[in-house]
Amino acid sequence: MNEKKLVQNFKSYINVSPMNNGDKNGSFQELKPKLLNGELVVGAAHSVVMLAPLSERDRGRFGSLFVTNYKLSFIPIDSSSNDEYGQRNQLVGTFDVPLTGVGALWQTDGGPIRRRRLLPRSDVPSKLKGLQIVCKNMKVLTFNFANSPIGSGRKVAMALLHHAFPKRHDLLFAFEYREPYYPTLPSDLNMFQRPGDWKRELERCECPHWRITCINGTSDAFMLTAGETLIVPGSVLDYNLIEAARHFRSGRVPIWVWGRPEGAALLRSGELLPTEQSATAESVLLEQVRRSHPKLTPPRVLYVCGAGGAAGAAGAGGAGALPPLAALDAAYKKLADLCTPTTLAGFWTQDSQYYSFLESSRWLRHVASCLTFADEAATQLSQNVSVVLQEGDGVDYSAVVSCLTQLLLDEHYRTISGFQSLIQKEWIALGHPFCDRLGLPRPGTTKEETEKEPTAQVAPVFLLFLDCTWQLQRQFPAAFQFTETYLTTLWDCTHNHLFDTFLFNCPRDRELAVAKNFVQRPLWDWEEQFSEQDIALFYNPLFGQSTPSSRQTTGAARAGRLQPCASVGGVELWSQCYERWLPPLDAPRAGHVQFVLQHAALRAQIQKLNEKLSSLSILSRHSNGSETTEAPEASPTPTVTRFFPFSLRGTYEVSRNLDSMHVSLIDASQLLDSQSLLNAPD
Amino acid sequence: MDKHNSSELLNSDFSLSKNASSDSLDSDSKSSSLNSKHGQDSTHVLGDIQLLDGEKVMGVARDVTYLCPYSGPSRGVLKVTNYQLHFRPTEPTSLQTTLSVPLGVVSRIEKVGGASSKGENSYGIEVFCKDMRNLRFAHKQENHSRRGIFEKLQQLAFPLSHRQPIFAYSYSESFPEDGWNVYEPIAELRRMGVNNDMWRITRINDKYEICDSYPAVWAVPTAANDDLLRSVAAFRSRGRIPVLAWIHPSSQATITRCSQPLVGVSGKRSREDERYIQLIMDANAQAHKLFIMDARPSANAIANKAKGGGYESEDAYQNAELVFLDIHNIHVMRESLRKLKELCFPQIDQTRWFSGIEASCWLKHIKCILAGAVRIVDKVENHKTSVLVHCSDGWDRTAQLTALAMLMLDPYYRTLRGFQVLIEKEWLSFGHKFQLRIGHGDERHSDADRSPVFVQWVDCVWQLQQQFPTAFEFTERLLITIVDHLYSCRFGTFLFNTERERYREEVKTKTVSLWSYINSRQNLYLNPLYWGPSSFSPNTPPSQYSRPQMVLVPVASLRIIKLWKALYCRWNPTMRQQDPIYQRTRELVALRAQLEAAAGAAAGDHAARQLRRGLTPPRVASPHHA
Repeated sequence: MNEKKLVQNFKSYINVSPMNNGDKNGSFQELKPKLLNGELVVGAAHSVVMLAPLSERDRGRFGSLFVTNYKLSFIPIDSSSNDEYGQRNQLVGTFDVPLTGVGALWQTDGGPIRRRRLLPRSDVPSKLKGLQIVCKNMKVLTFNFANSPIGSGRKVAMALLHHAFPKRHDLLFAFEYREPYYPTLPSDLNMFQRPGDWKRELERCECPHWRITCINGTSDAFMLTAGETLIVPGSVLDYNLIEAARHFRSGRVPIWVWGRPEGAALLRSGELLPTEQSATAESVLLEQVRRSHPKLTPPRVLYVCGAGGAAGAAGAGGAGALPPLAALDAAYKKLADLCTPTTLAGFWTQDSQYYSFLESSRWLRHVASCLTFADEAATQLSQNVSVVLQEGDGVDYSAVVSCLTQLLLDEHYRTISGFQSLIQKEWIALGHPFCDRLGLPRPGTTKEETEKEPTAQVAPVFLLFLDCTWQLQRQFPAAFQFTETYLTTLWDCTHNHLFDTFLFNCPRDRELAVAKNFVQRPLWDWEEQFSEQDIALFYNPLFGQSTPSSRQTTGAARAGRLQPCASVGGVELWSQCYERWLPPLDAPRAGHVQFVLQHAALRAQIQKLNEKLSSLSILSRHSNGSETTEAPEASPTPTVTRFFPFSLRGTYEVSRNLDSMHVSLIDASQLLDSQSLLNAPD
Repeated sequence: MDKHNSSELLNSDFSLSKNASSDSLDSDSKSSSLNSKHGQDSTHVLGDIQLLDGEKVMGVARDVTYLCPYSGPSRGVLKVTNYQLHFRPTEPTSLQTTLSVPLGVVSRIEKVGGASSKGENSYGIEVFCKDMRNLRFAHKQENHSRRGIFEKLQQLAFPLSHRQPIFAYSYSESFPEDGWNVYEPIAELRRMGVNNDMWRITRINDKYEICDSYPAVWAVPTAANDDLLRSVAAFRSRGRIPVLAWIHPSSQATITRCSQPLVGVSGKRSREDERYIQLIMDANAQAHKLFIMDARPSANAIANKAKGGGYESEDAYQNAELVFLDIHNIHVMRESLRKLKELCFPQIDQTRWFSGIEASCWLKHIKCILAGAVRIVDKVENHKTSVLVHCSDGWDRTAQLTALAMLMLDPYYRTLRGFQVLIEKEWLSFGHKFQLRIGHGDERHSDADRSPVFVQWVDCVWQLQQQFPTAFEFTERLLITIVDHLYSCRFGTFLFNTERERYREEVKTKTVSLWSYINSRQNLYLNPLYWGPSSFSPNTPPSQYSRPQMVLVPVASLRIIKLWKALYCRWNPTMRQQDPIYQRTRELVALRAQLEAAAGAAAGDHAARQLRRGLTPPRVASPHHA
């Protein structure tokens, strides 16, 4: 009965009398946040209670709350060994949130129930009793200032409002961080920064009919949001490109991103502008694409999203076209509402209508649509037909669909290095506007200016991609080198702007910053943040080393093409990412993570047996056998809970309070279609 | 759909499972659990009819078109045997439309269209199945071409309505193990430590005279004598008195089960019943309280008073606390599953998939049952308090709850054998009315007594498996096989309503047990990730990879409870699991075993060599895997 021993380290402090506090105040002064090089404390409150999430009674932990120019940090007065359970980030503590990860602030009356939204530059009442922070990764933190010195709650809230929503891009902490950086990136990671990187990719894909042009790095640049290197049909002249670019949104002429040795290529382009010659310009370029195919097969254009979408969607096997970015953001907000209940009662109320909430958010429909487009594109490409993905500015959904298509077709991208290279290629080098989509100020402009521009739409496009990748991973558990923990961590890191990876709108902005001595720190140096142990959890123990027979049977022999189930009925909610902060759902020995750990243990046992075998064979050869060999010990797999490594052990009661579960027992009449059934004989 | 071309079908085992018409899980499932003979899974020509021992072809219709909802019309030959309906397409490229449907699955058969109906494929028959699918066949519109096969189907699919025997009585295959021996009531009670000071085994119902729907062997409080039992039986609906279902190995807290008390509108009382309940409470020294879990919503419980039933009043039963678990009756569940079927078959409406799931209420019912079982487990495990479970008759919701709670409490029931024992004990011996609820061989498809109570329980078990993937010795494949044969009428296991009827009809001697079949191919059902005790017999040393099991407490939230697509959506080829996780696991486990053997052998060699040299052998691997 392991789980019974779990310590409950949440004590109720809410009703602690101020007298007791007096003793503790002394020690509060000792509490200090762990600061990084260049990090400064800008606000602090002591004797703060952090409420346990969704706890039924008012339970919480005493501690001090700090706001720095990098993070919000809560330091509990009584640290517990349970705090070290699960993933530990060396830069962000268990109870810390990087400021760029703060989503919304709410003023509360001290408890979790009544609340009012606090907006940047809005007024904060002097007697702030409580503060609730909803993070962009759906974690909810609730603080109570009832025992704190008067006014300190307000100070923290003001500091947070000021620093978490900076007005200028260069106020972000990445520009202040002074720690020297020594890159240790893996050699097989392609950053797609220099022309040579693209050349490597062309050679890897064995596509001789395409050429590299650096015209976009010159004063004749026409695609300002992409890097200097573009790959275009071998027969097209730079001059033609410049001409044609006038007819495409953001100058996004079709450019090569991936190809097969057989000849078919995957291209991305922006939508056509309603100019007079745009159709002609497009057909000229598509003709060049056709000529780059060794069999001269004409390409297939998939309209992923945009004005041409309605007509195109019908062609794409009935996939619903993807929505405008604003609609995607609305879908995400509804999903976030569903995943961030603030009270236990609210949690169970949502539970009883969970599926209608899920449907009304439409998030999973958009996920399914992306997968459908990708499946369609992959089908065309496996039939050796080139595909051009066309969409608005050519930087959002086309990146999602293009990445997914490559994941379906190219085994290389299913490794960790490959996946990171893919993100570098499709998202970083080709200029997905991360600042705009994540709601950060743009470099060089103030936030107000950015907001006035029509294109600065906030939308979780990258999350949509990670979610789709997770769906593939769930459907093909042995096909990916990375685990869902890797993807979830990646999503968390999207909101940690110490790293430059997701800090800029386009390569040009990054170069301008680098010219001003900005130090680039790619996220891909995972050792900067995590221990070996935590990084080990990124690796899927089922991946690789498949025996030849199973290869054949899964049909993977056919170029490793994955055939996903892309219908709404086949996709599921990414529980680890969205629901990991909901303690009522956590349970020991539950969930998919058990598969991962069991397989990891199995792998370890096999490894040990292998070692034992080889040592035995050495022994036999030398036969001086003074050593003794022990049987491999079954390495004990720890008892972990459903959301490991993200759940906080001890933040919930293991034998869940069953009276609260009774709240979930729905009103009996709700389940009935008609009263007559109620009275029917049993 | 180009995903299903025939070369793929012929070459790869895996794609077979994608196209298989029956059991969708593992690689040999083309022949599936439904019509495969032991050991003959791969010998027949693909698509050909494969007859079981005792099976005969009774009717053939040529030039029939099967209107497959997924791959379109397919022409071929329809055959009817005394066991199955079999369709073989003429075109080798459409082999994925091969059908083999046990007639036990058929719920009703209807003619579609008339001789003068216009349009292609408008004239034919439609077969409605109990396993969530409908099959449409089109016949040629001349000479009443469908008449013969329609009549044959009617006769053979509903033998009871035509005074014919069920196929299980003709089926004669023999298996290495006799599954009828899996469950021995006395042995199972002994396993739980009965007889002991507080509980005794009684054969008072040996002739099924006290209660005709109960088993012959009961465990009751030692302090209750036979006269008391008889008086209690008079006060409980259909004589179903409280008897032991499970006893906690350390605390002696018990789960007992019964039917409702015959309280009626006048609020009748029975001193004997009250005393008997007190004895059940007294048999557990740890608590001074007893929980009575009434599975029904309180409104239903009250409504039952008008029919002479009711519930225990806390005034009459001192120290007992009554809890209503709000689980609805068989009619509500039948409606719910009907709605789910509309949602899942044939096509999934993408625009209203999730709201459709919600509207069916199926998952909410599952949640209620799971939450109810969790409450029982909580009382027994955490509060060491005994629980008495009943509903109206104590054979539907009661069986769901006790069997589920026992599965959560006792790791034995999570083994392949233990699970069989659990079904034999809580469902079969305690008289869940399988015949009435399923309607084996009976043409009255709209009979109000039909209800998917057992399937719903299997769904709950699946939910547990999903939540705790390493806690069960078997995989979902076993559950699907059990559901398949719940309907198939190939085995005697789920025939009839009570132990008494099964005894009278000589089921054990005249039919084959489903467990004979399953235990002859255990490997197909074993969970390679199972981390429980590999054996519950005291003589076997525990495997070095096993860990002690614990009580399972599932989360009864709709965020966690999932729709069992592998069961309800399995006819839809686009909805199938793409890459079964266990395939890789089995490879890894096999590799581990190989290495262990090699290491053992190498160590043995080494030791022998050392011995020859007169040295002390090194200590090597523990003996049981050397």
